[in-house]
Amino acid sequence: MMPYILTQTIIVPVIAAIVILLTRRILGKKAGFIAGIALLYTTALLCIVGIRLYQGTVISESYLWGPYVSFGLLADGLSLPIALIINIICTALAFHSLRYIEQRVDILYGEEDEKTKINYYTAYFWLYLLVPAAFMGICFATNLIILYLFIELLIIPFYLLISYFGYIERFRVAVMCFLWGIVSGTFVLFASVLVYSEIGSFEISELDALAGSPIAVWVALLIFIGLFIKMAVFPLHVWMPWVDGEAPTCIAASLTIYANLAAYVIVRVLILPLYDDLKVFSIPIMILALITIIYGALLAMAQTDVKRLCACSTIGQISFSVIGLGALTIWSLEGGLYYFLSHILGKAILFSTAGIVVYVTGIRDMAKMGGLIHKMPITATLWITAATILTGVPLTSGFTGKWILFTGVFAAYPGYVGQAIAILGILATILTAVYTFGAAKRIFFGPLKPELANDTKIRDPPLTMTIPLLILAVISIIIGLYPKPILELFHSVIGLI
Amino acid sequence: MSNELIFLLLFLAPVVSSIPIALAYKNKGWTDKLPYLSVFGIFISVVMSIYILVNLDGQYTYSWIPDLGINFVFMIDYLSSYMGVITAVIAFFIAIYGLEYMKGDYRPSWYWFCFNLFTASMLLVVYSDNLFLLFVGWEGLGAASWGLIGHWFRDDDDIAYVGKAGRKVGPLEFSWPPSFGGWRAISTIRFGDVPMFLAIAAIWVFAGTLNISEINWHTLFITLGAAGTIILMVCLLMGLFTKSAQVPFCEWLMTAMTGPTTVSALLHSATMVAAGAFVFLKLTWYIEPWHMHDVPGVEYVFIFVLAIGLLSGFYGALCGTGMRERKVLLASSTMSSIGLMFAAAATSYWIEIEVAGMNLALLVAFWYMAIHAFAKASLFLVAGHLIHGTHSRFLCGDFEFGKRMKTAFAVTLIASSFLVGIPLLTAYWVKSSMDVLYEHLWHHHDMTLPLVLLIVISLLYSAVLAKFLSLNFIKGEKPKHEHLEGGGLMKLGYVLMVAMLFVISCGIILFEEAEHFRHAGGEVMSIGVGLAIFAVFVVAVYKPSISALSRFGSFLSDRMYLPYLNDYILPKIGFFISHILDDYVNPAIDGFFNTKVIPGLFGWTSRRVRSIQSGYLSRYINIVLGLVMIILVIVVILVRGVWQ
Repeated sequence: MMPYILTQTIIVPVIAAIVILLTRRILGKKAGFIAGIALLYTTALLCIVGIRLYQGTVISESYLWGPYVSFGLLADGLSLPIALIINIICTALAFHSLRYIEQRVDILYGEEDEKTKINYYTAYFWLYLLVPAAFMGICFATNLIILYLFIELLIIPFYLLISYFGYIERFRVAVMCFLWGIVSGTFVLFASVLVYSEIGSFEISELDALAGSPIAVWVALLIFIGLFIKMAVFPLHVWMPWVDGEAPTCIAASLTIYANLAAYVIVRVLILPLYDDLKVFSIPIMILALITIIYGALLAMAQTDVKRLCACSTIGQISFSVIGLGALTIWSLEGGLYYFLSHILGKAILFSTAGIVVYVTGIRDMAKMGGLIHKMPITATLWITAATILTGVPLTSGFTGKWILFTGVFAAYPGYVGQAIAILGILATILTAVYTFGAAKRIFFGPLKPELANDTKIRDPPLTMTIPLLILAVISIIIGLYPKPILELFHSVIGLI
Repeated sequence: MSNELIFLLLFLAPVVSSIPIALAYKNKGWTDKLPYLSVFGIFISVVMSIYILVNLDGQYTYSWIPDLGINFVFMIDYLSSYMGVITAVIAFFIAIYGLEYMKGDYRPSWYWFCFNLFTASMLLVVYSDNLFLLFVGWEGLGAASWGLIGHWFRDDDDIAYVGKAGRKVGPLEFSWPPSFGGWRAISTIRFGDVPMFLAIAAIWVFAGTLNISEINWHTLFITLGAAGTIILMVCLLMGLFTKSAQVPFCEWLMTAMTGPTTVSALLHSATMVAAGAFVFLKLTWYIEPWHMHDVPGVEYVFIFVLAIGLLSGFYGALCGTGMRERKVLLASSTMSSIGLMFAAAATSYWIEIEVAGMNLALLVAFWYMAIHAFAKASLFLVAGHLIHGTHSRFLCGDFEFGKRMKTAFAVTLIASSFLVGIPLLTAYWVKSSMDVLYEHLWHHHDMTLPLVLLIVISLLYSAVLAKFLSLNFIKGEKPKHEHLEGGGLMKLGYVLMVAMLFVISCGIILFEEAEHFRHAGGEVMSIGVGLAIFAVFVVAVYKPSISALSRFGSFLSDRMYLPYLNDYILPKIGFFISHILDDYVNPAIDGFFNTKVIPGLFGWTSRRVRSIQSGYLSRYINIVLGLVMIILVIVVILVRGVWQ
C-alpha cells in the first residue's frame, strides 16, 4: 500500500507548484507539463484509492496539528468519486491551458520582456496547482477547521489568477472574488466556532452530537448562508456573473467547481449528521433553488457575451443540485451530488470551448459570430456536447443526474408544494436548452460572417486544447451510461441516513 | 444467433457503420466511398428486424441499472415487430436514394452519421418496453433531427429555405433558413420532451416500474385520481404532440423542410413525427382504455387526444390546400395524417370491437400509419428529385415535363391515389374502417362532429395531394430549369418505396386482422365517402388552383399566421422577461450587494473613521466634547432611571 496516499493528493501539487516557482527560468514553457504530470499522478493515486474503496476499504489519515485540531483526511464513498472527477477535470484543464494561457500572456504582457512573460506563464501554473490541492483538502477534510482552511486558501490563488490573467476589470473582479469568498468563509467559521462551543470538537464525525439541539438550526443556517453565497443562490449570486465571466476560462471552470463543491460540503457537514434538524429548511431551500434556476436561465438568455452566458448558466445549474439537497431523500441527495459532477464536467467543456472561441476569434460578442462550425468543427462538436450534458440529453451524465435527482424530489413530498417544485424544476430545464442550443446557433451555425470567413487564423485550436475536453465528454457519457459505480459509492454513505 | 447479438446488431449496426465516415470528415476520397458502408449498416438493421418479426416474441430483458428501474427491455409484439420492419426498410430505401441525392454535398460525414443515428434511435423507440430506454431513443431522434434539419447550416442556398426570401408579414419575415429550422425543431421538441420526462419520472415513482407492459395502468390512474391522471397524461402527451407536430406545435415541421429531402422523407414516414403517434398507440395498446370506463379522468384524456388529432388533421389539410412549396405542402399533409392516427387511436376508449384479438381502433391507426409511411416517403423522394430536376422548391411542371419524368409521375400518381382513400386502392380499406369507428361514436355516444370532421379532412386531404400531382406534372408552370440527367438510384429508391404499397394491399387481402377492413370497404357510407374523395381528387387534378381564392390561399399558405406564435409572441415574451431581469433586476441586486449600497456603507464608514484622523486640534477637541456630551446624556438618563 502506498503511504500517505491521501496526503500525497494535496502535497504533490503543492510541491510541484513550489518546484515550478523555484525553477521557472529553467522550466520555461515546460511548467505546464509539470503541472499536468503532477495532476496525472494524483489522479492515478485517486484511482488506486477508488479501487480499494470499491473493495470495501475506507482510507483515512490523521496527523495531530495542535491541541484542539487534528489534520484528518478521509476517503469514503462520498468524498472519493467527487475528488476523482474534480481531479480529472483539473488535469484536463491544466493541459488545455498550455496554449490558452500562452496567448493570454501575449495579449496582456506582450510588451514586456521575455523573462517577465515566462514569469507570468509559470505563475499561472504554480498558482493553478494550488487549486486542485485545496479541492482535495475540502473533499477529504474530517474537521470543520481544516475544511474552513482549505475553503479560504482557495481564494488566494483565484484572486491572483484573475488579477494576472482575467479579462475586463480584472483587478476589481479579483477583489470581488476575494471579498465574497471571505464573507462566505466567515459564516462557515462562525458556525464552526458555535459547534465547538457546544460539543467541544471540530470533528465532522462528532457533529451528530448536535442533533436535536436548538443550536443545530443556527449552525445549519450559518453554513447555509455561507455556502449559498458560494453556490450563487439568488439573491447572493451577484458575484458569479462578474467573477466567472471575467476569469480566464480554465479558471472559470475551476470556479464552477469551487461554487458547486459546496453541495458536497452541505451533505457532509449538515445533512449526514443533522438530517432531522434540517427538515425545517427543506421547502424554503427548494423554493430558493427553483427561483435561482429560473432566474439564472433567464439571465443567461439575455447575454450576448459568450463568457457571461456561461457564467450566468452556472447560477442556474448549481441550483439543480440545491433542489436535490433540499428534498432530503436519499435519491435526491445522490442525484444532487451526481448532477454536481455532471454539471462540472459539462461546464468545464462549455467554458473551455467558449475560451477556445475567444482564443481563436478574439471576439466575445455572439452577435458578431456565426457559421463557425465550418472552420471549427471540433470546437462546435464540443459546444454541442456540453449543451447536451447541461440540457440533460440521454446517454450523457446530465440526463442520468436529472433522472435520479427528480425522481428523488418527486418522491419527497406527496403534497402539492413539493410536487409543484419538482414539476417547475423539471420544466425549467427547457430554458437550459434555449440558451445553450440558442448560443450554438448564434456562434456556429448560419452564414459565416465575411470578416471571419477571410481570417485564415480561424480554425480548430491545437489538439492539446481540444483532446482534454473530448476526454471529459467521454467521461460524461461513460458515467451517464453506467452510473452504477458512482451511485453505489454514494449510497454506501448516504444510504446510511 | 443469440438474441443479445440480434438486438446489438439491430441498434448498433447503423451507428457503428457511420462512425468511419464521421471520423474521415476531412478526407474527400473516403467520404465519397464510406456512405456505402453506412447504408450497409442500415441493411443489417433491416435483416435483423425481419428476423425479429419472424422468430421472436414477448419481452427480452437485459440488466442496466435495476435499482432505478432502468434496464434494456424490449417488447416484441404486434406493433413493434411490424413497425421495426417498416422503419428499417424505409430508412434503407431512403438511404439508397441518398447515395445519389447527397453526392457532392459539403457535409457528408455529418449527414450520414446523423441519418444513421436517427434510424437507430427510432428503432430503439419502436422496440423499447422500458420508458427510460424509449426516452433515450426519443431524445436521440430529437438530437439527430436537429443535426439533419440544420444540415445546410451555411444558409447560402435559397433552395434550402422555407418561405420566400425577404417576404414580410407585419414585422415578421416569413422566410426560414436551415440553421433556424434546426433550432426551431430542437426548441419546440424540447418544450414537449421535458414534461414527458416528468411524466416518466412520475410513473416510476407511483407505479414502481418503467416497463410499459408491466405497469398496472388501472391502479396507477386510480392512485393518482382524476386530476393526477389528467396531469400525468397531458405531460406525456406534450412530448408526443410536439414530436408529431400537432396543433399548436406544428410550426417546426414546416420549417424542418429546410433539411435535405431524404431527411424530410424519413422524418415524415417512419420516424420523428410518426414516433409520437406510434408511442401513443403503444401506450394505448397496454393501457387498454376501453376497460377503464370506471376510472375518473381517463375519458377526458382521450377526448383531448381526439380533439387535438382532428383539429390538427383539419388544420394541416386546410393549410395544405394553399401551399405552393413542394415539401411544405407534403409536410402539411403529414401533419393532417398524423392527426388522424392520433384521433383513430383515441377512439379506442369507446370502441370495444376486437379483430384477431386486437382492438380495432388501434389496428386502424397502425395500418394507416404503415400505408402513410410508404406513400409519404415516396412522395417526398419524388419531391426531392423534382427539386433537383427543376432547381425550384415551388410547385412547377407541365404535362410535357411530366412525360419526361415518367417514373416520378407514375410514383406520385400511385402514392397519392393509394393514400387518399380512393375506392379499392390501399388506404381505402383502412379509411373505411376509420369511417366505421367514427360512425360508432355517432350512433352510440352522440359524437357527430368527429365523423363530420373526418369526412371534411379526407376530402381536403385528397385535394391537397391531387394538387401536388397536378401542379408538378400536369397543370403546373413550365419549369425554368430542367436538369433531368442521372437519378438512377433516386428512382430506384422511390420505386421500391411505392412498391411496398402493393405489398400492404396484399396484406389487406390476406391477413386475418384485415378482415374488418375488407368488410368495412363494402359499407354504403364508406363507398360514398370514397367516391366523394375520388371526385375531389379528379376535380383538383383538373383545377388545382382557384385564382379567385388566392388571398385566402395566401392566408393558408402562411399557416394562418401561426408562425407569429413561435417566432414572435413566445420569444418576445421570454426575452422581454430576461432583459428586464438583466437590465433592471440584476443591476439592482448587484448595486445593493456589489457596487453601491454595501460597498458604499463600507466606504462611508471608512471615510468617517479616517476623517477623525485629520491632525487638527480643533477636530479632536470637538470629538472629545461630543463624546463627553453623549456620556453626560447617558449618565443623566441612567441616574433618572435609578431615581424613578
